[in-house]
Amino acid sequence: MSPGPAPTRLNGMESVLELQDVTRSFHRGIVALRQVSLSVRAGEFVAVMGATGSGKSTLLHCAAGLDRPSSGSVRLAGREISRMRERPLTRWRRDRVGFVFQSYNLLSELTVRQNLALPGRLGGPRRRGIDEVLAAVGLEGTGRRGVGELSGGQRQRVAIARALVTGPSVIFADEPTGALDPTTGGQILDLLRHAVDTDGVTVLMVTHDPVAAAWSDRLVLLRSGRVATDTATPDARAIADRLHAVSTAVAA
Amino acid sequence: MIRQALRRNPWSFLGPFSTQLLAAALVAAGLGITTSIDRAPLDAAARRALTESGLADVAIIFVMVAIYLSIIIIGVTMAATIAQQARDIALVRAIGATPGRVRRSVAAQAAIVAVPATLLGVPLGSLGGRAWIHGVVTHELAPAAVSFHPHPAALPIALAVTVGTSLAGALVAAIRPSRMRPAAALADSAAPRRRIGSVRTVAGLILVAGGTVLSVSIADLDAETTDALALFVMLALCVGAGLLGPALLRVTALVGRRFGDIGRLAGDTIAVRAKALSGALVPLTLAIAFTAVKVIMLGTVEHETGTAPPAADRWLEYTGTAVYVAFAAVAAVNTLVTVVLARRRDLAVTRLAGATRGRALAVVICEALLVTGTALVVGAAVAATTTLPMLHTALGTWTPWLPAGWVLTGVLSTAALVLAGTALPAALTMRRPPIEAVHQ
Repeated sequence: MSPGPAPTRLNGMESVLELQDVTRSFHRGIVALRQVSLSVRAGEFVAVMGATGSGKSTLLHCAAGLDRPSSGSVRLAGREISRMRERPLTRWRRDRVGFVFQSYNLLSELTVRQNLALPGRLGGPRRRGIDEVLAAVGLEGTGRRGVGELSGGQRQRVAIARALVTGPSVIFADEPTGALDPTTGGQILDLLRHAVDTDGVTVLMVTHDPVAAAWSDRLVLLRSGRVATDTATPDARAIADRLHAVSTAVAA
Repeated sequence: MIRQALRRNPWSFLGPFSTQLLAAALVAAGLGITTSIDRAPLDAAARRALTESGLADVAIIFVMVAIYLSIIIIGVTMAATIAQQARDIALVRAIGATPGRVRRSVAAQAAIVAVPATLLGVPLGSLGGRAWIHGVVTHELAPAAVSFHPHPAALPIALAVTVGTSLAGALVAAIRPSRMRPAAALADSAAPRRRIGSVRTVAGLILVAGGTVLSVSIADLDAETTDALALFVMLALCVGAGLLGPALLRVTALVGRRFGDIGRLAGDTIAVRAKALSGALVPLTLAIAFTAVKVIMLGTVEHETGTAPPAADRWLEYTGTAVYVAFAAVAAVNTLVTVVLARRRDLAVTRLAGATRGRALAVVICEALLVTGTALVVGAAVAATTTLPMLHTALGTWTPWLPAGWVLTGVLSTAALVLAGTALPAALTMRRPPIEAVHQ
């Protein structure tokens, strides 16, 4: 399968991800997102934080085309995706987006190499070589090992390598360090940071860890489904204070 | 992706595998019987008599039943298998697998499993066919010159049948899961339990009521009309009971809660899993009702008139019923195994919360007995409503006669099936330390 055109590296002011008045409600009247608007420029590293139940994961799912908003629009890499049909949406996602989740990231019975080859086998672009991305995440020579033999940190690096192998415009990361110790988590964040700085990838990361969020350029805080604050990222201590402020405001 | 599915959860393919094995065996047996009849060294008169006896038709019925039941049951069992792969499917959907590709992968899994199942099923079917021909000859339904010859192309034909039915069943089963939004399966919270639709309950009640009314109203017609209409009574009641399955299990759960702490835990589980468990309740009920109707009709005729129906007729009736029951049993046991395997984590959590292995197992056994009881009661009710008008018009009696030996066999084999589908896998999964299951 041909690799297709490289994703447009929109630089400067143009946004690679644009949410407009996105609302997502579930059955029984639960509203996870209320009229959220958010614009992310190419090459930005955005952290989304908020208390449990504030709608962070739903925001990520809607932005990445894994879920559909109840109303509002989502533009991803220059195309309106909220009302696309399932098959073209899947292809759009496959060719332009990478994912890193907290867990259930990899197919556990396959080898590292088989996991990295998966996007290509599913018809996705092969813009970067498997060995090249394995080296980029510091896992040279592990291609033949089973994913089951790897440690949690190594698995998460494989997940990042799999996200990078298609050369995506945006990587969506849902609590990528949630299951890791601080040191290992730091290595993972360093890899994401590196992808932003050297490859020009855009990263949208959901996290509840202020230290993890401190690696980002921009911090979006959610409170009960709305954007509470949207600023340049301060240091970890200030992030923790702000997070505490929005969380207690909910409880009050 | 196919490799991942087959390696990750090999046991989840037990259901499709056993269905395919049974289908392959039936096809091989049916083909073998036709070949045997064709090749028997008979003179013209004997051959005409054999053709008129309809034995060859029985063989064709075996093959037809194998095809249509296996499409349905492979569909049902593959649906359970796919449910266990929800996470992996969500992951590959997220990173670029289209719904069509997921469906093809699921179909390929079913087709791959069909190969070993067929290789095992065909020899078993030859053995069964040989036994059947032997039975036909000893019951003097066919001349002794007829002996068993396996069909030369039994293996390729059986393989074509099992692969074909697997592809059809699996593709249908995969439609819904392949279209699910990836976010739904990736979310950490358990999927919201679907409620029993009120439409479903109302439709079930209407069918059951309609079947009962029909049963009462045909009791005074002539015997032939009643026989014909009794089939509709049974259909209405079976479909109705199927629709009411989850609701019936909720009622059972209420009964279970009266039996101490273990009964309460078992009742709670049944209430929560009512929808999944009704997938086992329905085939069990059908098998019980179907067998009971046959046994009651033949038994009561013998009891009332004092003359047994010809042994040959009885024997043909019973082999036909046995085929249906075997399929129903496979479907029921598989559904139960899937429900238990899906609960591995829950069982482990129960044990971490302080339950001993024995106690956790006691809860599972209690659940099994409650499901068995429900199936027996519902099956018996369906059978009684179906047979009473037929007995009244044909024999003028209202009391069905059922030999005690049959009742005992029926109860014990139902209980054995349910226990094999629940307690056995539960005991096997609990041999490992609970923390392993929680970490999966």
